[in-house]
Amino acid sequence: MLTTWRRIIKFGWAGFRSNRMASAVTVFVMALAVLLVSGWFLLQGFSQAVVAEVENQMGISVYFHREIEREEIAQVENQLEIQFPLALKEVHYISPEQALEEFKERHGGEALYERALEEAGPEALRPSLDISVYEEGQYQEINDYLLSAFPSLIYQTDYLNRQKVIDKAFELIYRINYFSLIIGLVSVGLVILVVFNTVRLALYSLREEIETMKLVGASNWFAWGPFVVQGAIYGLVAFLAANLVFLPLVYWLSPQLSLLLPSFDLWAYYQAHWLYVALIQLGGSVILGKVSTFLAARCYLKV
Amino acid sequence: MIIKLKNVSKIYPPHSIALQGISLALEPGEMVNIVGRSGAGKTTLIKLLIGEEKPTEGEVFFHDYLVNEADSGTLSLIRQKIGVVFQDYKLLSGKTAYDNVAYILEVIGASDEEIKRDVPKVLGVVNLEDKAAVYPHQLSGGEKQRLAIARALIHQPEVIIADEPSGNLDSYNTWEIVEILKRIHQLGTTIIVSTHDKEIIRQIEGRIITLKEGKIVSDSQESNFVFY
Repeated sequence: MLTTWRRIIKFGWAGFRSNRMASAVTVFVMALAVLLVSGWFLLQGFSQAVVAEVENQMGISVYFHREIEREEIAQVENQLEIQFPLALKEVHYISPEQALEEFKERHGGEALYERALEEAGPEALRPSLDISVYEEGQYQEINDYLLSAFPSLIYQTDYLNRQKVIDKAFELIYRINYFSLIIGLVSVGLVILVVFNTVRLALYSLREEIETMKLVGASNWFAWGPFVVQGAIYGLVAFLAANLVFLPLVYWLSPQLSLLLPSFDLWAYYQAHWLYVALIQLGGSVILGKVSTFLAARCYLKV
Repeated sequence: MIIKLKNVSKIYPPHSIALQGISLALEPGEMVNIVGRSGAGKTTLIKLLIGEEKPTEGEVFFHDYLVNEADSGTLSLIRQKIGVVFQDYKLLSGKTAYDNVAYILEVIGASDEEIKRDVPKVLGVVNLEDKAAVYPHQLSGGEKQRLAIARALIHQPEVIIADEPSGNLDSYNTWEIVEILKRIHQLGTTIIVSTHDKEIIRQIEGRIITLKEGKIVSDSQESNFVFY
């Protein structure tokens, strides 16, 4: 049995080496497939980061009248936690002084903003609460509660101003997820079709050999086993070839993407998921190679 | 009885009759010539013996195995007991002469030592010892035929079937092939030669089964037969 396995592997390796052109074409197509699927995986990471970024940007800012004391605002926070214990993600108090600091930090050196601040005076800035929740639908509820429970304390909330942006953002997130899922499924389907047909073409020229092997007494496994091994070798080499391109590409792309989305570090994301990516690449390509060769070789085993 | 056909017919769609009502039995150690003109059904008969084709009617036995009903595994075992010299050689083009012969031993699970010991010997028997590292496309017609014979006899099968072994060979190469087959027969192997070459029939003494239009028209030990 061990001898049979050793011979099947030996024949598979010999087949891979002897059909250089067919092997090169198959490996090239499979490497492209590996790159496509890996790219899709990283795109998932990027879109998740975009979603997280958008979600972080969302929330309600509740502005209080200038004379409202910190203690009164703390009571509002407590009431919120009692009323919405599971919904609240974060409630963050911003004092007028902090608001001023942040304003200066964000717009320091910008003449227009500095002049506006001079004209309005530092006292123009109000104490506020930044509220974020776990589910989008709860913003409306919290906004309504605050306005009805503390009308005398609250100067204004910006929920209505942000509502359209929030709705659009969630619609965008939904579409990103939906389309990336469709693109992913279509890509995987295309990859399987292309690889299968490439392998079938590569084996087509060997169909008479397979038939001869059968006619001289080789069992099905002994005849097609080497081709399955060959398929696995295609996958392994495609995995290595794809990574020769993939890793430098990810490394190079990482700072470029950080310019677009500072919170997302592609290289760090890859490092955190490298084992997962490698398993998808290696497992996918080797299994795809094996299954494709198995199916293609099977057509010629009917003798 | 090593091979037995019971009322075998083979019709290729739609209505091309290749064999019709063939019944015959071969004993171990026999030398059998299956003769007839092109299209008489000789190659179809061989295909039925090795399970490459299934009869439309009737039964084909190898020992107690019913070849036409054998599953893939059984068919492999049957084929391992039969060495076939195909009309078109059917050599493995990606393998050297040595590897073509060794492949059969690898199929039956022989050890590496046995392969190293037996393959050069058999290549020597067919005078191809100096062509061991050569690929089939680099061999002449006669050399290919001899290599096909080496492959057919390497595992000492119970039966060797040679389909038109003279092919397009010249008279010297044909004589050489016949001599090899006769030597193998002397060792006790059943030999079945399918041919339309009168010279081969004259040289090989043995049973002569004549086919005409898919039917057996004579079955005798005489060598002074006539083509129908």
